[in-house]
Amino acid sequence: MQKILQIVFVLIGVYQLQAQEFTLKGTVSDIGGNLPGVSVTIVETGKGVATDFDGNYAIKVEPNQTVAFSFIGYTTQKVKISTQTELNIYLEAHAENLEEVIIQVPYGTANKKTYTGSVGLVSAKTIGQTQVSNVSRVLEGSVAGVQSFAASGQPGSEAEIRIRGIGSINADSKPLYVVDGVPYEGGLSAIAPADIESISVLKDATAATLYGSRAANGVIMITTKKGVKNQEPQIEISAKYGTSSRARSDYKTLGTNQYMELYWEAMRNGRMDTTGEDWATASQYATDNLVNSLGINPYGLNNPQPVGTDGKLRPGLQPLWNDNWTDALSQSANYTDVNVRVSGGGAKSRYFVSGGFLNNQGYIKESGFKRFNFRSNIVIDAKDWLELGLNTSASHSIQDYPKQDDSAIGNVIGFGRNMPSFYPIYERDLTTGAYLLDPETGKRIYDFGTYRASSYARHNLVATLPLDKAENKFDIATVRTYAQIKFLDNLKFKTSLNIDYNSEYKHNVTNPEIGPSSATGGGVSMRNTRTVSMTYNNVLNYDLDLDDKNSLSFMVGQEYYQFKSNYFGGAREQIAMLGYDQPDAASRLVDFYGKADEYKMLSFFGNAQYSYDKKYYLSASYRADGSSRFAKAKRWGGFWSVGASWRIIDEDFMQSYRDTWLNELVFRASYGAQGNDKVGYYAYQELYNIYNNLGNPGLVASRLETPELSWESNMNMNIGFDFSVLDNRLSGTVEYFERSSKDLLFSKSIAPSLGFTSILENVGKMKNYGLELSLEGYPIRTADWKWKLGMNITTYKNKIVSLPSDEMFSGTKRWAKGGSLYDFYLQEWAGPDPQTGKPRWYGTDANGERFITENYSELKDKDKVKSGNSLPKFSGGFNTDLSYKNWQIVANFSYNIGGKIYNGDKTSLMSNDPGGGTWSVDMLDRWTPENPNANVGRLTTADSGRWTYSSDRFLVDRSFLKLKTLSLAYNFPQEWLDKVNIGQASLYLQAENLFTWTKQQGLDPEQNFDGTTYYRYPAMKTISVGLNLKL
Amino acid sequence: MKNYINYTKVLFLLLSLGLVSCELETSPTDAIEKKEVFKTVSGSEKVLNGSWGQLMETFNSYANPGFGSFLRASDAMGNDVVLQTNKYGFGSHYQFNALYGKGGTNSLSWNLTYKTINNMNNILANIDEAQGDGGERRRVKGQAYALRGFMYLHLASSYAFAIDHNPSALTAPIYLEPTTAKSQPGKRATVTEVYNQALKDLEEALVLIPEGYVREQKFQFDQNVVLGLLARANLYARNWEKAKEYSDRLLAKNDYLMNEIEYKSGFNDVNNREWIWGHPQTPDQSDASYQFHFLDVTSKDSYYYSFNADPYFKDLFEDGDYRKSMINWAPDPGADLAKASVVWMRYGKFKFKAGQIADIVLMRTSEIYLINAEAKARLNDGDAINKLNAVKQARNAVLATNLSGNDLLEAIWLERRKELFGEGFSLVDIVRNQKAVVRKKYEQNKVEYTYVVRDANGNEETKTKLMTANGHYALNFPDQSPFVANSPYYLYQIPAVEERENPNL
Repeated sequence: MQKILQIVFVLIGVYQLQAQEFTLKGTVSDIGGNLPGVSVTIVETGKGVATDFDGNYAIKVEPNQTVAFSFIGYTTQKVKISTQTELNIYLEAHAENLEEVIIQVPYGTANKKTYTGSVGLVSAKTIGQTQVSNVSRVLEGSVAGVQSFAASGQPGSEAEIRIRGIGSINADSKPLYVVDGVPYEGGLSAIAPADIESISVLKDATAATLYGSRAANGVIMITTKKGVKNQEPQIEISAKYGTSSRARSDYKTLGTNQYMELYWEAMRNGRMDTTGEDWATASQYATDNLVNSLGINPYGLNNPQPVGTDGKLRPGLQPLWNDNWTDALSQSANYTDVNVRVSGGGAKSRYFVSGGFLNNQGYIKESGFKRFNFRSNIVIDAKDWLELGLNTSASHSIQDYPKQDDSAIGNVIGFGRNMPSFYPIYERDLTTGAYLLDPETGKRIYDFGTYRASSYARHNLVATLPLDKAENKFDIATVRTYAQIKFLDNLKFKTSLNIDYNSEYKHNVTNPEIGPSSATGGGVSMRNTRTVSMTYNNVLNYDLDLDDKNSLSFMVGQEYYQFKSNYFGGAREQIAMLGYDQPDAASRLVDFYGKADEYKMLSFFGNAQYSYDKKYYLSASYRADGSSRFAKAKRWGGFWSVGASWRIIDEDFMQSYRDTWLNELVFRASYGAQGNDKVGYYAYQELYNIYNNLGNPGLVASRLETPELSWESNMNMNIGFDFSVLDNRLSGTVEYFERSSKDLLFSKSIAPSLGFTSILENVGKMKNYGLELSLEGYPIRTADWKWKLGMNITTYKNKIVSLPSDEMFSGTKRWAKGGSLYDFYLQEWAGPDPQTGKPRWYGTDANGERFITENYSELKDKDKVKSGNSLPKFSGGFNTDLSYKNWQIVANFSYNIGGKIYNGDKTSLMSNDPGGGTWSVDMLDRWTPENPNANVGRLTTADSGRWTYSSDRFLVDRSFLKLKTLSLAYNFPQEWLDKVNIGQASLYLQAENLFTWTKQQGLDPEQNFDGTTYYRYPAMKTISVGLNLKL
Repeated sequence: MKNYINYTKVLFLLLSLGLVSCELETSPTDAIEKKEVFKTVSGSEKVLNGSWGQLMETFNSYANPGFGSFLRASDAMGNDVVLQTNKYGFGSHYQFNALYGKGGTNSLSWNLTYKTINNMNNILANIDEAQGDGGERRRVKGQAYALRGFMYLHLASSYAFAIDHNPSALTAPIYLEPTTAKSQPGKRATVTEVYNQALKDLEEALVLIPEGYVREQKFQFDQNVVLGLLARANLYARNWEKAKEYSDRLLAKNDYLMNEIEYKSGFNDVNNREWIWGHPQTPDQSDASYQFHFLDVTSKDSYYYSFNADPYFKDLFEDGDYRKSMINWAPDPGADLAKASVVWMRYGKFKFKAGQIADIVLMRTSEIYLINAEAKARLNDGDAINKLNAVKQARNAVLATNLSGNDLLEAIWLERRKELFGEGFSLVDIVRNQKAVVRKKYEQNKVEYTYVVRDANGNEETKTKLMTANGHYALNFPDQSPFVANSPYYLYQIPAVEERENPNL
């Protein structure tokens, strides 16, 4: 070894003596001709030039230096120069996933080509094609094995992400987000998509084990952009402007005329049911009382009984008004996104600085999201042995968030949906239907509908939303600092201190003047939540090339993580005057509260990698985590992984294939364990919650002692092939995975008569297993035309391997050994009785025989039947990217096949007695003596006629196909730009959520994982134009 | 130079490692470890206080605001309350679907009751070893017994038919020890056993709570409350002598019956002298007040104003009885009278205080009078009619004469309906007396409603309008069978999760 080195040194010395500068010239071209703007750099010195408009370059070199030719979208070529003075280069446009992709892995980087783990990548380009305010929404349909469901369309809200299924029952199943190498606890909405260089999704154990317990559900690594050494400052500006609207129209509902007839029918039937009146008497009752029951007569006072005793609307009647509340609660929304980025570097430093502004208004009134963000990434080579890095980012955002996530009256989605057209928005003359005008202002008067039959009486969100306030402000700052010391070229030590700071400030005001809040004189409530997380780690890296075939690398490290959160808030009532929204303006204190939590973890970890002949790669990792969540004796958990990859393509016996059609073939496998501790901060103590009562301190038993509780573990197996064929025109990855969880942190139900409803235990086993396939191809690759197609598909199953009891019920799901966590078990709907119209369900008697009953109350859990699974059978996405000269059109689709949703939204529109609430058009097909085989129950105001009890009747298919993004771009020709001194410019048109195809009308198929929906903010469609400039 | 660099590097390394702390202990700021809680008597008192707050203020939906929702359910399922149609909360109770269908009220009742029992069991198991003043210890212990007894009384009277219907009917488990992670769920005890446990606990409380104890707030158990609960529990358990004895003892200490002005002040203030026991509300603790959105049928601030009276209920009162003057036809409170077309019988007994706050009444002297009268009537004690008439007199009603035997009992039960309307006794009385719900359809469809309109000049004009009048509309059980005595529709049900997780049931 030493001998070799000696010889090398001597040789270098000799060459140095001979070194002589000369000029190298040439032309760089690609398949389409000469390439301007290609960067030509000398690897040894970092000095460089760019090719001119005709693709020519000239650069001063010394013999034995290496010159690199690189251009975005092309494979970099490196040529060692001896004495030639002319060098023409042909650059190959690369297939994206075959380049020397450097991926971010825990505590370092790796070459994707040789990496043993399973990684999915999303490039900056894909991210740039979306128009979302939250990064989590980018992942939908982009990476195999990653499922993303945006449960809310509210601007600024986060999508739910699951990597390879669900790892835990009661502990958290969210993946770990890592930004610039360090776990990130800031809000994702704070990261501007334009600042992101790439997103890697680490799906298996190889990489994730190094984050130990924090990575139990996979890791999403976000890397922000950096500067480049020895580069002139580059200024990039991107701006988008567009409009947003609702992606899918809402469920169709009955018009006034139909509603009146049907409600008459419900009243007649109800009267017969609860009082025993005969048909004629009950019909008369319904005719007499219809208007009284609904509270208003939309046909005017001159038609006091709009529906006759025959149940028909009197001929010729037309409603005097037909108000659409959903429209009245909507607005035309704008979308603005402007970003400026400056990057560059000198000999000893690199920088990237950016700033941005986003205004994403919601299509629902008084909803939206505004963000101001700033980022600065700086790397300094302070000494030849010391590299310092400082990444800071800060953002301030304001989210207008009207109530939208429960069945409360103030829910803006529910309000629009549940207010039928016959309740006017503005007060009307009840005889003529003309608007009543305020005698003083001459304006229309909002109708608060004290007469309305439903619980929506006295509310008018159209009037009160603009006067009330529901605002969330977020201030997020993150600091990533590190110092890397190079002891030797192959021995490095990195110490890194990282802080994420979040402050969430909620401010809610209800106005003192109009609407129900005026009863308490209006109110103001505020709540501030502050979280600070600190990650401090020290990592030592050692690489060793034993000889030219064997190389080893080691990494050991230690990490300390601390998370502190606290919140406080208060509320006051009786605001002095409309427009005052601070607590000082309100006179009566009604609430003041707050609490703090703390979570700590100490970890030690290590990793060893071995490679032989650049063909065989092995890696092994271990990490030990101590968590403050568990009792002292059960605190520590050990997690490990092993992985291997084999570059089959580089084997000699592959020579003949390599020369013909096969370009790449790699085999990878890994196995390992991770842990999960996400079950409340104090998961062992026997606790009494503070429950103060009437001014005196109070306590109540809240938690049983669980000193034995410890880590849940996740065993991950991954086997995969990467391949590329036909001159790299078709490439792909196929992987099989198996994710087993054991000692599940399980909130086990206990008999509530014990005074507790559940106790935490480490019990049960579960696994997720499935296949992923991603393909990418270039069907057309000519000078003018380029067409790229990509697709990914994932299928997996979730299976419960063991449980503490034979079966457990959780909401609409039943958990049993051999089943899935997401199996719907519901009472089976038997349809209305053809004779009487009474709703019926199936039950099971003692002998296991099915029987039909009209008494839903007699049905028990044992009568429920498997009715489907909420997880889609297949999910994924596909994309097409077609370019012709300067034009480019890109479309990204996402899809789901199979799976069910329990549609609570639709069900709430199908009640036997909506009592002044909206009815779905489906009610036209209700049971009547003339329609005995209907699948919609008989209408009746009697409570006993309820047919919308939870049953498989209301499950719907969740399959969908969505055109997630569509963009059309034009790149201005370089010759035009040169005249105005602009580097690059492109103009584009983008559309987000343009089309969604799914079975059920009105349903937004993107719902949460467990497949139950209830009054969510529907997805939005955004269409905008944009401009990208590079100066 | 090279050495210097190396030293710096090593220093860096040590500094980095040294910064790391290894302390992994954390503890919550909103909870206390059990071993700390029961060190002192005052810790036990905090558990007593917290459990009360939890019992009275816990929501599982706005339709079920705490223990009071069980009182409201009792009236919604009786003879005299007509739930306004299409209003949130208690409509399905009125139609006998809520408890039978194991809805929210049903599960809240079970969970809250047993949570409270477990908290009291913890106090009783630990208080003898706790540090503190002996007198305090006796008092807190007594109050814990009283609250546990009150919970067992709720179970006995809500989960089984009358004790004389089937004395050994399986009702609900009895727990007397604190629950630990290893505890097994209990088997159901008979209705007799549950009543006996309630009585035993209350007797213990009576011994332990000092006679001279003056409570700080009216929700706390003093001797009067315990005497009242003992009278009530013995009445339900049909121990007439005991019921008489305890109600006599209580009346000897406090026999105040409120006057007309107090009666008409809204039943919203624990300071009312006739209230023996009540749950106060404050601006920062007002969840239980939500019950008044159902009870209060005349205030503009009430959201649902749904606990209307049966039109025939008014006919039960004689003219001159000031309670009758509070019962009138009226449209929705706050309605535009020109537009209104429907009236309900509004009993203006319950009214919000300002700011949508109202205290919850739990025991009044008039109930004790009527318990006393009922017990004495059962015992053929001639004083029974006097106690009945004491209440009637206080309300300016016509006094009863020449009543005895069953007629007297019926008169007392009727007086309970009239006097305790909306206070949570309707269903309990129906069940313990093995009666059927009685509801009659209101035949007269239209009534004249008179109101006063004032114009811009202050001139008043009296207008009369023909309005649609509403009475009872749910006149049978959900399966359309007629109301009968001892129907399972009257009882609280064991929740499905208890049936599933308790193999010993």
